[in-house]
Amino acid sequence: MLFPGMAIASIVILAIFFRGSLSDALAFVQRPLAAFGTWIGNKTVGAFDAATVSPERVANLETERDQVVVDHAELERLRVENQELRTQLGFLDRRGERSVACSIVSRSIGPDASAFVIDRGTDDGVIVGAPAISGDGILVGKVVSAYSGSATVRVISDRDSATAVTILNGTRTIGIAEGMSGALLSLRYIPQDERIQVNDIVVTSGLESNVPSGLVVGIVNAVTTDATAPFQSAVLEPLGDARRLSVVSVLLPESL
Amino acid sequence: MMKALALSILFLLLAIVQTSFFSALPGILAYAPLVIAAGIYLRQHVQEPSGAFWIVTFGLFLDMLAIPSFPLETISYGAAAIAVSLTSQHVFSNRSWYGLIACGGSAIVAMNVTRAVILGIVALRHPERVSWHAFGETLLWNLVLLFVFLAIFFAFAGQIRSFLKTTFMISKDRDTL
Repeated sequence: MLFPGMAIASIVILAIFFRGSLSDALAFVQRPLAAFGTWIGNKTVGAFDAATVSPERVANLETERDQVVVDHAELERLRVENQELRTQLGFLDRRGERSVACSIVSRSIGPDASAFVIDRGTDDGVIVGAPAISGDGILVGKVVSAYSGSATVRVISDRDSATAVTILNGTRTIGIAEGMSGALLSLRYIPQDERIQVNDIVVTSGLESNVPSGLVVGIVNAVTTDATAPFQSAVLEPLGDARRLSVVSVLLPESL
Repeated sequence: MMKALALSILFLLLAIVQTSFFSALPGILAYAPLVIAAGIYLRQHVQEPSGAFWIVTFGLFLDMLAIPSFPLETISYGAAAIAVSLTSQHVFSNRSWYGLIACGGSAIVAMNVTRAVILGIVALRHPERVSWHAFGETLLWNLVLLFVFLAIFFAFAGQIRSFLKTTFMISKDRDTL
């Protein structure tokens, strides 16, 4: 009676151990399934959100959007200025980042997907700790395990994730952003004299090995300050949403 | 060997569909417990012991790919597999819809009690890493969607039995449904 069950377990365990060889064959099936699921998710997300969005939230979102537009205009001006300066100083040559495009083939179960499997591995230069970014340079997660033909990425909002970040405020506050419930990040132990505001942009600080500085992590959603406490804390909203993606790019070690 | 191979391939297909397709769907659909539902159906309604192995192997699959929703999923899914085996063998009839639902419910309860114990242990040292809200939400939607899957499987019992016989997963002369 137990033989078929033991045989199944053995075959599946062997398949997982030899996943390097099998991953290409499995990815052939997984890639379209994951892309199809993501497509459905992106097409129907409005329907799922509609019932939960209140008029107040719409008003807040519109205010935030206006703020973002203003910020964007300012950032655009800074980007042009920065580009000119970098060209002059030859920074682009020194930081020509190489990346590999990867398809997401599996995810953890549940809406707060906190890890996903990609179809590229050590054969393609992917290493543990390398950052995975979405197309526009937003940090999505970091590689936690890599095999020859596949790797697992843990998203930055996972409770076991920690990312070295800098807040783009006046004092360039640095800290460690940790995952918390509700797909948010928390930034704790910020000295009281640091000035942090809602909507401040948060980027990677570059103080973590394998993760370059300047990758966009998210924005400050709330700041908790207690005048009697030595530290303040902030809640960050990550901009990268792994559930809406079917393709990510992993930065390769040579470029880090 | 043919039977084990066919059951293994079907298991891998179901695991891929769950982790690649269902997990990418929006809202509660991402909770869809396809493999555990198929395992429960196979063990309880078809009386095929491999169904319990599917369940525990899926926990192992999630842990080995490092994509578990909760820590140590192999143990939680193992508890569910034991619950399914015991209740399908000694407690619930495999001929009724209610027996199937009760067996499925007991598996989910066993799995989530084990998860709660593991999360409780984790929470003792790292309370910030445990979200009881996410746990409750997962339990609720797992249970609801499991019943939906079992209802669909039960409705297509005849076709499923023919498929399992054609693909050598159960013997041709078996008629336990």
